[in-house]
Amino acid sequence: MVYQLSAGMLDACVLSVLEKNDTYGYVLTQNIKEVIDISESSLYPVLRRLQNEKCLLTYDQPFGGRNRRYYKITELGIDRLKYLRDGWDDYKQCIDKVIY
Amino acid sequence: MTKDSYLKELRDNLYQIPQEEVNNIIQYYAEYFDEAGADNVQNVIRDLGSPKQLADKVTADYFGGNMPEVELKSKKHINVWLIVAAVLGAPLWIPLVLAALIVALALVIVMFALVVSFGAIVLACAIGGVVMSFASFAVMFSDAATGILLLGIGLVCLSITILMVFATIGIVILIKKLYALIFKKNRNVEG
Repeated sequence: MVYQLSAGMLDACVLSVLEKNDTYGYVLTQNIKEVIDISESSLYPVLRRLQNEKCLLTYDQPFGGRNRRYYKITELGIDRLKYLRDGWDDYKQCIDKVIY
Repeated sequence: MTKDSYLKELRDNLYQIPQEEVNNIIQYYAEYFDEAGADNVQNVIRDLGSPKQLADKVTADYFGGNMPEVELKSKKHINVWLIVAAVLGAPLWIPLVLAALIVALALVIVMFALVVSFGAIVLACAIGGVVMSFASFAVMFSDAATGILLLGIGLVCLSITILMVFATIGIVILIKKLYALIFKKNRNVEG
């Protein structure tokens, strides 16, 4: 990819996936990786930070003898996602004006 | 490298982070390995990077730019040049360290001496004051003037006693505070 993913964008990607469905770390990573080439090591810090900021919460669900930690978007997370989407639209428009 | 040895090394390298958070981190990546499946362990390791690299990344994010210590080259390997410098500089720093230790010892002795001498004064004045006061009563009836004098001296001694008791308590508190200051400072340095 020509351009780098900035921190806010990764937040938006994560929150957007969670908006559709609760999911766990592995699936979340695979979903995002399908579209954007991120490194696996990038995701945990984003999840931890969003959790600290109360944009998402976690719950555990046992699966086949082990545990899966699910992530779920919160009300605050939905607001944050909207804010990030608006920001992206603005950003897109500004850049488009310059480079086209 | 196996999943378990990877996770162990990762945990070791997360030494700067509080235990509770470390447990969360390890749980996340252990789960990641499990979901990827036993066949994919090497792929996951390749994608995650070495345990040290991953730990550095997670640690840097955790502290958000306010790292508690400057990134060490490697905690386990000792720098050879450091040893060479230490040996060559020994004639300089050994006497300096000794001098510093002796000064510290002298300070301790002084403080101890202060407490002891204050205590001695308290004791002397207390005993003197009581004895004087009683003696004054004995003389009072034969020689009133002397009796009053002795009583006066005795009471003065007793009041000095009280003052010195407060002074001694003050010195002890001061010493305790200095002690705490010195050892609190040391703890900060060790981080």
